[in-house]
Amino acid sequence: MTGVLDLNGLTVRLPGPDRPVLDDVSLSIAEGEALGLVGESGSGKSMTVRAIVRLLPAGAQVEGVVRVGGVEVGSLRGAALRELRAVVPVVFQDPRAHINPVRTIGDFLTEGLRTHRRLSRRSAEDRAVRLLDEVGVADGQRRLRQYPHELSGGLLQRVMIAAALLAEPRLLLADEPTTALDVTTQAEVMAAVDELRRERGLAMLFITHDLELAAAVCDRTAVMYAGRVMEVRASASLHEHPLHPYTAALAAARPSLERRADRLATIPGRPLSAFEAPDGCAFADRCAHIRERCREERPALRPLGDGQVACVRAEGLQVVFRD
Amino acid sequence: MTTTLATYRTPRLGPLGTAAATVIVAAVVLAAIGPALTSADPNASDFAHAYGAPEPGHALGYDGQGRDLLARLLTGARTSLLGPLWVVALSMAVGTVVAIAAAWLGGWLDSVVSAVLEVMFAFPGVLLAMLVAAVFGPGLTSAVLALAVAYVPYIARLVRSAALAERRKPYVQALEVQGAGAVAICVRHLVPNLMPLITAQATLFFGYAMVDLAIVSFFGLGVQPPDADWGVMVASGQSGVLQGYPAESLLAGGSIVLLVVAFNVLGERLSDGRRAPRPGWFPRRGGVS
Repeated sequence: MTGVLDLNGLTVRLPGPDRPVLDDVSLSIAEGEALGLVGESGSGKSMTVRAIVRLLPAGAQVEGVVRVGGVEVGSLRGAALRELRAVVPVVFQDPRAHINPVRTIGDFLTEGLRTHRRLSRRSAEDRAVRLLDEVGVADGQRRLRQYPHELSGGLLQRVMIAAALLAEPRLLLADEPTTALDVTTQAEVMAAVDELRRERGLAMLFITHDLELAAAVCDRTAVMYAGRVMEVRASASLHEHPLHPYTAALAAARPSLERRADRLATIPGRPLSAFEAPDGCAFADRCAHIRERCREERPALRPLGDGQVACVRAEGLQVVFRD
Repeated sequence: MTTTLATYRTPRLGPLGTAAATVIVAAVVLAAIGPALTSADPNASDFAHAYGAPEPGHALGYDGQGRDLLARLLTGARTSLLGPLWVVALSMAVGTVVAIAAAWLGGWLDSVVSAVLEVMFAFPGVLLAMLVAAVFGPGLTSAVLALAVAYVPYIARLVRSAALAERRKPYVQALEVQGAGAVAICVRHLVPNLMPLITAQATLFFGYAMVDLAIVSFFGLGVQPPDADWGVMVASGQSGVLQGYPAESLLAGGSIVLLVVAFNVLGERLSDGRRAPRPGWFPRRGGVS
């Protein structure tokens, strides 16, 4: 199966004494599909994106295979790597930090078109204005003359999204694109992304720590914990009927509008980084349903129901979580 | 973020900085149009007027060889300003390219560049200039080239550290992810964003280069007589000082001091506290680098 993006056994180790940050991550995204990637801080979500576009810290060791549109990324060098990056845009969390503060929005949006595509300034600007309009930024001509500090966070993130779409990508990597925005802006920006994505049949890897948001905009959701994928399935069913104890615990820990609660449920312990993870299941120490087997062998990600799960007790627990 | 923007704020000159800028602009204008202000030939000597007092048409009087002082001061301003300009332009260009390449590529290239820079720090610029003059013969060109080489490590070290910090900023990584090439990112984003720092440093170094070039010329290894230059004039006025005619040395020396102070003040204002140690002659304050 060759999708827009295939990760197979991706393991990333940072320099230092055996510090994996990603541990055997396998995911794939089909043409036009949106995959949500959720997890706590430090679970390896952003590292996954960085590994895809090969923006890892110096000295990082990568094992496993990353394919974008069937092309293996790991072996690309120089111009070929730049070519790949140009068509796999990344939208980052903090737009303000990811744009050169001393260049205008126009410079930012047209630079790629003018250097990679050799468009004239005129036609590059025309395209930029059209795209700005599509992502909901009115008065594009004026915006092109403005500097990043003159735009609000929401507007700037829309500009970043427009910049991402300029390359007419097949795949968009979004690394918590709305986390730095306030809630109303968040909703607007997400709506814009969702609409544009559907119009263009664009595949997306959407990173967030917001389960609901992932469920709302993504076809499937993958849950990561300590650098490993715990569960992947259709967003709706993951939300309603989680199979992995971690996903279930996450879902239970969310506040709900329908239900009154004095205290929110929490997961005991603290989130682990990948390099602290025990030999068996990474979640073993915090899991309410632990068995001896969980500490001894590492559960593989295996198909179950409409998705995949990495828990040896998933079938048995299904009934427990339904209640 | 505010921290990001603060780095790029326009420096305020303040009254002192404005005065310094005015002095510099005035000096440049005078050097440009100067020789037109006086009809006297700066190189025509008339021994009848040796050490002659000021008189109409010769506002500052004469030097020991009966040459018009005003004409020599104005003509000397050209070499005295153009020399440092070349020193600064050459060292900034080379230093910036070397520093950016080292900071961007890192690894062994960075180590080699840093090591070479450390070795170069050991050579005082003026000594190097004198050595070059001894080997290739005295002259403004060899002095300028030698000083330019000696100044490279100072600008390169500063720019390298600033470029390293800039390279780690998310916007640079974002550009990489967009598929921009290394050269494009450096030329279009890194260097322009470092320009405020480089400009401020160049202004400071202009003053230092002026002193260093004057020193070299004073020792007779830079600008060669009869060409007018402030360093040369300080030297040739020495005998006059002993005979009670200090005008030539004082005027030339005063011009140097005035401009160097002006460049220093302006450079400090522009650099906003970020400055490299002074290149040059004696070991710098603060010990070994």
